[in-house]
Amino acid sequence: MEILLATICGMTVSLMNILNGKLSAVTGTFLSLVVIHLTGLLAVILVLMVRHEKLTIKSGIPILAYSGGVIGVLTTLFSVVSVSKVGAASLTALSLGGQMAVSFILEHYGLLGAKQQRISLQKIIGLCVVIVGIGVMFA
Amino acid sequence: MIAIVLSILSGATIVLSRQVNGYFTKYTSASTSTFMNYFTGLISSIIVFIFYGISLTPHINVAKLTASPIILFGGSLSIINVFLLNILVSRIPPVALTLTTFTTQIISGMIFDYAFYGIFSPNKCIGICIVIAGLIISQMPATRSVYRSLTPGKSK
Repeated sequence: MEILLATICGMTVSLMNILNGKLSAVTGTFLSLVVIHLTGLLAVILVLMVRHEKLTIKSGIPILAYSGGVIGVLTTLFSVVSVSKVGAASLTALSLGGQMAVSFILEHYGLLGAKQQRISLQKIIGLCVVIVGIGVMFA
Repeated sequence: MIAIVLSILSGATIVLSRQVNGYFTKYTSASTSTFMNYFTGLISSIIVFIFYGISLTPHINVAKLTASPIILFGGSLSIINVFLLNILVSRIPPVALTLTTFTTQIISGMIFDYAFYGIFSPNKCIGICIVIAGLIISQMPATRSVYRSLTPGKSK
């Protein structure tokens, strides 16, 4: 059951990238970002209402803590611009390469609250194999 | 080329936003963190649209929107992902979760590419297999313990 749910997770992200890319083609990139985040926010509000959950915002939260959504806008922007040109599968593979590289750096230096973990040769080899795979996808 | 660079950067920003959102969750609940993530994202995208996007917005083909209204709801699909991950993160080891979601994401991406864009090539299939192998290699020590936890009868 859990594997089925995890499968749905993966499929949802790919479908989301495709739909967002198609929306961007119709409305333009920047308006599509507004629509994407608006529908996402409305869905969150709906879930909160159904689950009778309340927002709990304490005082003294650093401003930086609010920047996740701003960075998320960049993620969405990069995805909608590139998905129609490289496709969802290549976007996923390239994104994975970026995720791995940044994760390794954050972990190696213990940045942004990441648990410090020195980069291993195995991780470097894994990243290199991913890069080779991406190269084959574009060959 | 620009699309390739942006795709890589999208991965970088995914990790950065995840770290920041995790930092925010320490001060509040997961639901509130998710809400603020979308709320701040909406405010940011509106600001960017007002300052840069209005002049770049093409004449909107309403017929295309009414023909395929589902394209308006890509953003709301993400809440399914968030909801399921919240359930799964405590039920599946993180490496197994990462491998499963990524594998299905990239394979379904290949299927959707063919269905929506007509993109398909044998190289893409081979490349996807190599990419998945690379991900497994980078996770390998934990993968072994995940295998043992999933097959308790066969463990030492």
